[in-house]
Amino acid sequence: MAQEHFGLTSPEISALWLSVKVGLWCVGILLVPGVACGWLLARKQFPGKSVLEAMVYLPMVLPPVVTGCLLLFLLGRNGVFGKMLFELFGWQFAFTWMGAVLASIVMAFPLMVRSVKVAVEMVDGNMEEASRTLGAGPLRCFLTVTLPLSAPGILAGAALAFARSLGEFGATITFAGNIRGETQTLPLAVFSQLQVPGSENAVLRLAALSIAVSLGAIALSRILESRLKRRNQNAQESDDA
Amino acid sequence: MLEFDVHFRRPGFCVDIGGAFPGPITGIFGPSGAGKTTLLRLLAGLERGAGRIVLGDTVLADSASGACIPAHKRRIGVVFQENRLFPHLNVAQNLTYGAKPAGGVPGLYGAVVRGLRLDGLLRHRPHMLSGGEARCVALGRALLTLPRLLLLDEPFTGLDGDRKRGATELVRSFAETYGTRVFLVSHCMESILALTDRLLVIQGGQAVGCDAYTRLLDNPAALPVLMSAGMVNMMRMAVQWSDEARAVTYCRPLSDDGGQGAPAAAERAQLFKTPFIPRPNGTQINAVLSPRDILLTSHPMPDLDRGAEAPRQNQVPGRVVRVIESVDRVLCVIDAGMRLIAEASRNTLPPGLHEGRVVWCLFRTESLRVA
Repeated sequence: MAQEHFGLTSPEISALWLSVKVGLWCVGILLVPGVACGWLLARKQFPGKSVLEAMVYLPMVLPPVVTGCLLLFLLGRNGVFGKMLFELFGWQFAFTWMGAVLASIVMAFPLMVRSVKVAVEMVDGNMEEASRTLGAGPLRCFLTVTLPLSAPGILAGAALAFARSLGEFGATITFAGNIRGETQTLPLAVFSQLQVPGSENAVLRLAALSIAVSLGAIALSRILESRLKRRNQNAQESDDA
Repeated sequence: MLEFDVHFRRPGFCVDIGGAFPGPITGIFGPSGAGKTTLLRLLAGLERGAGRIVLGDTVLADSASGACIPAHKRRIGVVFQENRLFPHLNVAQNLTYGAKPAGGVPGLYGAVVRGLRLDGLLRHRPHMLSGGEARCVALGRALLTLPRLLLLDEPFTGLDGDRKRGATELVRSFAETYGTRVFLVSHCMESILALTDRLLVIQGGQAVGCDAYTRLLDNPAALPVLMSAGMVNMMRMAVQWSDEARAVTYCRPLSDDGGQGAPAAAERAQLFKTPFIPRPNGTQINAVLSPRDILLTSHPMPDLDRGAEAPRQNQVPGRVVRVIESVDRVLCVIDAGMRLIAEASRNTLPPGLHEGRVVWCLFRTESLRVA
C-alpha cells in the first residue's frame, strides 16, 4: 500500500506533480511561438496563410491518437527526426516526460494561437498606427502597444493551454507511454486505476484533483478575459469622449 | 518647404493633390469626404499612394524610384481625429512615449504640460479624461516628438476657451521656434484662421485653391467651398492700446502679406475697437467677424467718429469688388484695405449696389471675436 499524504497516495501525488510540471513546461515553451503565430495570423496577409492556419488548427480536429502516432513517426527513437536528434545530441523524446510535454505542446498549440489571434485582433490597429507616428519601429510598437493590450488574452490562452495539457491523454499515451513516475500524468493515472478492480475511490480522488486543477485554470482564464473586456471598454470610452 | 504630388485610388474615391508649401502653417479646408484625412495619412506614410513627397531635402516617398521612408522614421507627428491615447499608459507615459530620451530640448516637457494645462492630470489614465483633456494629451504627445512636420486633424475639437488658446499658442510657438511645419485640418474656419491665413481648399479629392484666405475669395472654384461651410472674415491686427475701464481694445489692421499697415486703413490711421484683450501693445492678433454682422451703408455714420466717447461700433469705408447673389441673400466682397465679406438679404442692402461703388461697413465692437 502506498504511503498517503493529504489523503493522496505517492503515485497520485507524483501524477499530480508531473501533470503540473508538464503543463508549466508546455505553456513556457508555447508562449513565444504561440504569440508569434497568433500575431502573424491576426495582423499579416501572406501567401499560404490559410494553409498555415489549417496546419496550426489540425491537432484540434485530428484524433489525439493519430497526433501521437505522427509524433512517434517523426520524433520516435527510430523516427525521421528522432533518430537524427538522438545521434547528434542524445535527445530522446518518446517515452520520456519531455515526450509528454511535446505531446501537450502539439495539442495545446491551436488553443494558444486561437486565443492570441483573437486578443491581437481586439487591439485597435489605430493604436499601432499612433505608435508608428510617434517613432516606434515594428518591434517597439509590438512590445509597448500590441503586447500589453493583448496581454490578458494571451494569459487567458496560456491558461487554456495549461488546462489542455492537464487533460491531454491520447497523444501522450501514444507518444510518451504510461510509465508511473515518468510519464503518467493525471488522466493516465485515472486510466490506469480504472483497469484495477475495486479502485473506485482512487479514481474519484484523481478525477476530483483533475477537476479542481482544471477549474482553477479556467477561472484564471475567465478573470483575465473580463479584465481584457474592461480595458477595451475604457479605451473605447476615452476615444468616444 | 514641403512639396508633394500624391495620387491615391480606392473604389469610388480618389485623391490627386499636389503643391508646394513654403509657409510654416497651412490650413486644409474642405467638406466631409473631400480627402483631407487621406491626404494627411499619405503624408504621414500610413497609406501608400503614387507620387512624390519631399520635406526639406528629404524625399519621403517617390513612387517613380520606389523610395519610401516608413512612417516611424519620417519624424512626422500626427494628431488623429480620434485621440488614440494608449489606454494602458497614464497621461505622463502617453506624453513621453515618442519623446527623445536624450538630446531633447530641456524644459520642453514642462512647457508643453503647462501650455496645455495638463499639470494635474499626469497620473490619470486616458479613460478618466474629458474629451478636451484627451485632445490636449494627443497634441502634447505629438509635439514632444519635435516633429519636422505636424499633421493636425481637427485638433481643437472639444477644447474650452483657455485650452484652445493655449494649444493654439503652443502650435504657433513650435512652428516659430523649432521650425515645425504644420498642416491643420479643421471644419472650423476660425480655428484655422487663428493659426494661419494660408489655406489649401480641397473638394472631391482635388485641390481647388491654395492661397491666402482673402485671395481665395477671388477664386471661383474655392469660393463655393468656403461659402458652404459658412464664411468668416479674418482680420489681422496689432493691439495699439486698451481702455480697460470701457472694456475696449483699439487695434490697427495689418495687411494680408506681412504685417505692414494695410494701405487704405493705415493711411487713415483707422483703428478698430474690439472687446478688451488683455495683451501687451503691439501683440498681433487674429479677429474673426461674421459676414452677417456687417451692415453696409451708403454714407458714413457721423456719430461714430468721436474718439474715446464714440459708441461701441466700428465703421470702415471700402469699395465693392464683387457681388455674389444667391436665392435670397447677397454676398459682397469689399476692399477696405483688407478684404471683407458682408452678407445681407436683398432688402437691407444700399440701393444700386454694384462693383466699384464705395460703401461703409458698420459692425459692433462685440462682433469682433479674437481667435
